[in-house]
Amino acid sequence: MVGFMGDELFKEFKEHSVAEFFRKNKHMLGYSGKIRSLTTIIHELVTNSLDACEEAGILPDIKVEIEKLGADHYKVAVEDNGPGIPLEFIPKVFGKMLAGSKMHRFIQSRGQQGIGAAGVLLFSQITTGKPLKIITSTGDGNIYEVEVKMNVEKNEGEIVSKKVRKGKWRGTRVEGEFKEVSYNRGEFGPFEYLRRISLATPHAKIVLKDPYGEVVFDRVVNELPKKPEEMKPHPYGLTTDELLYIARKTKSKKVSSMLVSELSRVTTKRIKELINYMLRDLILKKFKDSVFWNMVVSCYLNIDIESYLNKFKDYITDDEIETVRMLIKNLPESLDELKRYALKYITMEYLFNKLSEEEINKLKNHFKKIPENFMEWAEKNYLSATVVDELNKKVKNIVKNPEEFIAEIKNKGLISDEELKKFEDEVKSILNKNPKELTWDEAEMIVNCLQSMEFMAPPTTGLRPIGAENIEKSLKELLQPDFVKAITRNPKTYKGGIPFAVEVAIAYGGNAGRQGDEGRRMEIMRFANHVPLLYDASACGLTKAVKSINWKRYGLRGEDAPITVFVNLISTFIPYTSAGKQAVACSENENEEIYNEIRHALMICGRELEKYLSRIRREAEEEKKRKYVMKYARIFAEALANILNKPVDEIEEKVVKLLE
Amino acid sequence: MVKLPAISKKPREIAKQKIIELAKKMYEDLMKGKRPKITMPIRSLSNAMFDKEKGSFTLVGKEKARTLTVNQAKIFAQTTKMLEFAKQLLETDDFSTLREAYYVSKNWGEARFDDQQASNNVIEDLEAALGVLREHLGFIPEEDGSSVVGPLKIIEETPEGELVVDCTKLGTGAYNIPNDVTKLNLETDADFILAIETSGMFARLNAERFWDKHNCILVSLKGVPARATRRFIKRLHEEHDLPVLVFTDGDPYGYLNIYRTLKVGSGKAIHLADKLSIPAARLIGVTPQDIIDYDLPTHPLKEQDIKRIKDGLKNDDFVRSFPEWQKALKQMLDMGVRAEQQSLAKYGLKYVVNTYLPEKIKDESTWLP
Repeated sequence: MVGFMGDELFKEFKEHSVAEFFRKNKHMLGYSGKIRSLTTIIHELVTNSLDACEEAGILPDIKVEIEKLGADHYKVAVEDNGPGIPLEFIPKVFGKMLAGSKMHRFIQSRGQQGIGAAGVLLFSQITTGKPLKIITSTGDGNIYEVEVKMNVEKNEGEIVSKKVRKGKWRGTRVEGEFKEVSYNRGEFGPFEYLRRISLATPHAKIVLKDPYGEVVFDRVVNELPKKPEEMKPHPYGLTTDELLYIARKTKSKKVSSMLVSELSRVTTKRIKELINYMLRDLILKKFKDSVFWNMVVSCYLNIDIESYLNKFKDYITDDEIETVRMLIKNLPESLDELKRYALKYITMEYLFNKLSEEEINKLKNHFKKIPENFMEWAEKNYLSATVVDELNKKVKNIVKNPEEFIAEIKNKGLISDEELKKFEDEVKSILNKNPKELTWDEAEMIVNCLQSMEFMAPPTTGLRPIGAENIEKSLKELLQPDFVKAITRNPKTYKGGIPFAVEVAIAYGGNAGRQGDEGRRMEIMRFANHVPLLYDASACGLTKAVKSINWKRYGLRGEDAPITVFVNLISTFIPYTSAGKQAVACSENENEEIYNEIRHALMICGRELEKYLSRIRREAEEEKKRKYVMKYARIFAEALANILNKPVDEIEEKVVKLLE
Repeated sequence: MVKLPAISKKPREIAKQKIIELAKKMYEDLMKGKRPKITMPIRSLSNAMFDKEKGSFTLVGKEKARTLTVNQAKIFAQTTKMLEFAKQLLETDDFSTLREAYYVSKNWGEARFDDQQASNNVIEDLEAALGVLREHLGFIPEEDGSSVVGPLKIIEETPEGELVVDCTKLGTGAYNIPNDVTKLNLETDADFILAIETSGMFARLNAERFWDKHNCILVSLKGVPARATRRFIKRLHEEHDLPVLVFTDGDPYGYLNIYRTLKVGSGKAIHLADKLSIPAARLIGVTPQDIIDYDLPTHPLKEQDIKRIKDGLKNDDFVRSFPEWQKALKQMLDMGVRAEQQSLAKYGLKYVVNTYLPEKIKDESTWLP
């Protein structure tokens, strides 16, 4: 996604004015809706400040000022105690749309869009025509006050005024005016954003001055977290665009050594394997559109798709047959899609063997479904989990390994030794190339081949969670709950190669939960790499994971409880559902490693909550019982006293002593 | 006029004495710093054994103790309050129905009962713990007894003086046994008691003045007899040494529910078995053999009849103690039919009065134990 957006943006820049492009696409960058736009502005400036402070090893002290100037018209200032920006960098930081310090880096970071401060500048410029004012000092005694505008022709920031004064101060203050924005302290605005980011950044102090007064989100931890480490990209998370970026930056002299030194889990031995994969791809490319194609495909695949088409031609649509033939023609690029159909046909074969002809005829209509719907139907009605596993395994292995493929191609006389030698030379020449000369097609082939090979998951040591203890401190400070439990899980990987870790926490009682009309309800706080996600809650996999928990099992009546659930997903690459970057794509079927990990962590916290709640309940019951018991003691004493004509108090005293 | 025996006062005096004893024991325990407790026999079949000699169930001696602990504080307070209430009833010579007792508890604050079953249970607990009938504690059943007619005088002391009911002078009506028979004095020179299952048959025999012809007391049972009816018959039986003959329908319900309850007691009140049961009672008809001998019109056995017989044969100590009953029930099972008392009307309405009952009463060998 990052690569795609970057490229698209670059292309667009050349053709349109930057301002026009921004206007058209600002919704994708978080500038949609008045309150959300203001939240995005605050987000960009505050995360820049946090990043700068952490980078320089400074405990962040951040001031946010929001001042109303008119209807939908606000002045915003964000000030930090960071390292300051050297004068010559200011146009770069605030000018270039894709300064790119964060893109293409395999590192856990707050932002992933590489548009940050420039977007803020553009938004100010297109809504008010005014520049941003930057006051900054590196602490050398000179304080610079500059105004920056975007030079739309050059796609560069431009300093329009500059003042220097002497003073002992270090940090950066950014001021700007914006229209088409609005502010309140509601659930989806800057206030809530700052409240939450302070929760996820316990080592920062954030002061907010808004039209309603001043709020301090204080520091609860006096130690800076360790910096995230840059990790080498793993082949499974790699895109062509990224590989080219790496090729441009690498110090390696050859593509093969670049792959070994820049990628995780790629070794010299694996390069030899890669050669065969590339060889196979080249041979396939050569035979494409030739009359021998079907023979080549039969060497390539373990199963005969064409025979399935014949076998099932009365049951599937003509369109489908045509689609599948097209897919065969477009191998190997279309392999993933072809596998979906292969799964359908293998499943159909299974059903045909299992069911009588009569039953099959009854099901006729279902066979016309597209593979996904067909599989959903089949799994629901006929397939056990074991069968589904087996079928999937078969499909996973429908491609022969490259050695077998080459041997068979040679056997069938489709290729001569000389031709093979020529291909081998070609592969070697790609791998021996200077990385800077790598072309898109070559890079694409390498990525495709790497991804069809088996690799161990990458190491996950570079991730930096907030830490369970810190989260608990933050939540205690913010919510004064009666109970809090946080847990940081060990890192794992998803999509085969992307490292991630999950942190969750539950706070119960006190100010936890969101105040509704009928008391406090469950509040879900979502974070991605410590940054709050305020929007698209219902589309977000983090929300879904929280909602999938049966909270009643943990002593709650349901979601009508004073409970705040905190979920932070940490990863070198967060799988957002869309460019808006407010919802994470994970569920039972998609990136389920993330989904299950969150559920698991929540259940662990839930068990602690359950223990706490039942202890509270038990204590309350015991107290209640004790009170009751004393009432019974009195009644008993009265009855016994009446029967025997003895004084009540004497008896009661003895009974109370016995019962206490 | 015969002198009234002191029987009506005495059991109540004994009950009151027992209440005070129990209370004293609790008080002494308390003063010693010990937890007071109330022990009582367990009131379930697991604590009962059929004593063939005595002809009724006896307790095997399993006891449970209710101790004053945090968990039992409520029920303990309730039990003691009920004890106090019973003493009050006895001192004021008053009585309370079970339902009234439940409502009285509403005045006990937190120790009040939330439903009557719990209140009934506590009364039964006291009945068991003290070893006296609850009627002697002043608690009388909700249900009154059934009808009586025959050579019997019922003498009752009332504030207005002595009241005498002569059960031979009730016309076509009958004397209704009250809820509590404790205070009644009974005087009779009858030869035996005939207990009859249905009101219909009772009315027929009364109309024909059967009691006059055979010098017997007729009691209707109206199905499974109420406590008041059972105590009334038991007192007649014990105080005047009268044999008790029972005349039921010829079906498992008549034998194993109605007759069996009268004779050996019900499973529910096992702790009272020897205070309510009448082991000397005998069933004179309608027996399965009668169905054949008198060629009576029948109905097929219903599914629950068959189940009841099979269960009785297998599990009921009473049935298992009497080979005659095993034989009779197996016979009924083989025949697959049952007959009602009224089926004797096949031979005319007076047949039961003039032929069947006289024949049966005379021939002891046709009875069932």
